Amino acid sequence: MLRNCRIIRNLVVLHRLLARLGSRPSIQGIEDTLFLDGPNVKDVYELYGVEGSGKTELLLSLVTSIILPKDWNGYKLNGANAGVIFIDTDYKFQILRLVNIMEKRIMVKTEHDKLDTNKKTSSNDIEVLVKECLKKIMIVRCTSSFQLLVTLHSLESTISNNPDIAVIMIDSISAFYWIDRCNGGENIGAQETNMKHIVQQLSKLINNYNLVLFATKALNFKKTNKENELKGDNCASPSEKKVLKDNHAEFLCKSWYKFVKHRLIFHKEKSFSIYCNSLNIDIQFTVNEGGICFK
Amino acid sequence: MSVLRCGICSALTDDVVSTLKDNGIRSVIDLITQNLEDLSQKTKLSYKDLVAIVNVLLAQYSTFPVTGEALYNTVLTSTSILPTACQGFDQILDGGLYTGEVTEVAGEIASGKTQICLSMTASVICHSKQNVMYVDTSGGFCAERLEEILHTKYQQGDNSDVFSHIRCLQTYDIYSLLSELQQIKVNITQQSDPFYSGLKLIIIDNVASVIYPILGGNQLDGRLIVCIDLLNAWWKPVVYTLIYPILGGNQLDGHGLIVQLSQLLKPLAVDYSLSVLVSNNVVVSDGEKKASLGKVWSHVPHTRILVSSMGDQQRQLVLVKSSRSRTGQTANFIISEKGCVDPG
Repeated sequence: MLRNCRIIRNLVVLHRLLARLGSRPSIQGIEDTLFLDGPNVKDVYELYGVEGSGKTELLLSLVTSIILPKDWNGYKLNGANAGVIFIDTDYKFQILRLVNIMEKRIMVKTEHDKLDTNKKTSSNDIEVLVKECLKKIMIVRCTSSFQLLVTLHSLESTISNNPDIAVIMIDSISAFYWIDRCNGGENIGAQETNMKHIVQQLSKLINNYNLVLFATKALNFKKTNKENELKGDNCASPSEKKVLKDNHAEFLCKSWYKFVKHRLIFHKEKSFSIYCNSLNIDIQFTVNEGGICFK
Repeated sequence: MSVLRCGICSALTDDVVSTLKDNGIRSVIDLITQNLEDLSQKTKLSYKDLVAIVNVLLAQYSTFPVTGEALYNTVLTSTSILPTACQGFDQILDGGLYTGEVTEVAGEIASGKTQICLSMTASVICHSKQNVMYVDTSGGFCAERLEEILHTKYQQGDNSDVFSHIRCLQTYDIYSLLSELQQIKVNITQQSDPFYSGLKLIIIDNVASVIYPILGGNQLDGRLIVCIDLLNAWWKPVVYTLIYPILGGNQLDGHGLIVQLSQLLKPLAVDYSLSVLVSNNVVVSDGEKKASLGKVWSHVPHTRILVSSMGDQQRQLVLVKSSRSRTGQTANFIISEKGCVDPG
């Protein structure tokens, strides 16, 4: 009995070890204006902003860059040819929009560098390519934090069996915040148990399997005016604007706050913009048919 | 939160459950977050059994990933677009209301929200030949008006059975709304009532009137003043004192209930490929009109349209949120006896 148990255990350990050692495709350079020479493995990005500020749109643009191949029929598509797990807790994932972005991206690239006049890409070819690429994205939908936690545990075997998967995306991580807060009653510890376990499991997946995590977080709380004023007073006028740009206020548990490596803060005023302190960027972007376009 | 009990899988016997309980493991979460090797040594339970139990639990409580290709094929076959019978409206919505989406129409009092809902109902039952569930939370549903639209626009006679394609539910609080939606879900899965197999559109008019009472007093201050200011009468102070205690619920519970509503509406729309149309009020903040109900609700709809009155029967639509079309697009329509129609 004991021997049996050891053999199974060793097999499991070996299997996981192999999965970890096996190299996963790199997604470095997929959006160099935003991530410079990143995203590096084990990075955790949080996309934070009000509704309609372009968080999900950026995720879809990133998915496109990740799942498209590097070359196709001699055209440079500059994709990473990697796999993605997309966890949709908001029931907002629009596959039709993703397909639109992909088709547009391919069309722009193929028209841009016409290598060979004899070679014509028909819309049929593009459709075949799009369908082929769509096999690399897996969509998981969750309706509660409990389900999300269990799903993250069950995804471990999916990830270890599929060496193409390089990215996990969660849209959004804050979806169950209010429900958990109500269910937890007065006890903050009870309110945050599920979230803590989720962060623990995510960190295990990201670090053990060398993945990159992107998660959106809704702006549920505004920083109070008082805090802003206080900071504004201490800072010189040029940097004052930056203080206001950083309107982040953490409301998920502390372990999530520590887990996030780069926080991209989305703003929507006259135009869309992203501000990130750790990457030292403050750029504007537009949204069009082909996804997000940086100025 | 599910509690471990015997019968979930064959390896999870009464003895195992009680042994786990002695070691402080009561729920599914407690077990799956454990390191099974340590647990096996601590409890003297066989590692193999523990792995088997965890695998069964994972399979039972997790959701399965779908590949993008499979999802794309499903969406292509199951998505339908419900035209609104108003060209300008269709244009900014990229064809009409999509199934699998929650669309919100927000506007002031008398800006035409209910008219849009009624016109949409008429269009779906006559043009698309599908069924409509009309959830009326504010008493705004008017069968005579709907009959007028059906009669003048679609030439439906008195003896036609168009009214069998629409069902109207009246709920006046969030709890009954949640249970009615749950019931709709059950009825669709049971497939015993033919009405539900042809159901393509659920309308909630107006979602704000069930959510206002559950939001806390603080959040409502601004909106209340806007609402009550409209009354502009000497008895305003009386209204203030009467309304305040009723509205002073727990804000936390309110947010939780909003999320619960959204977690019921969106899966309903996506899983059963229905279209959901909700109407909402507007608030003015920083000189800008926006949909009411705060930040938590603002994330819920997939598409949002602001409707505003331009005087007389003229109305203007502005697309403020969409994942398909460019936001900021506008369209005009007129409210006539035919419902919402294109101008001219």
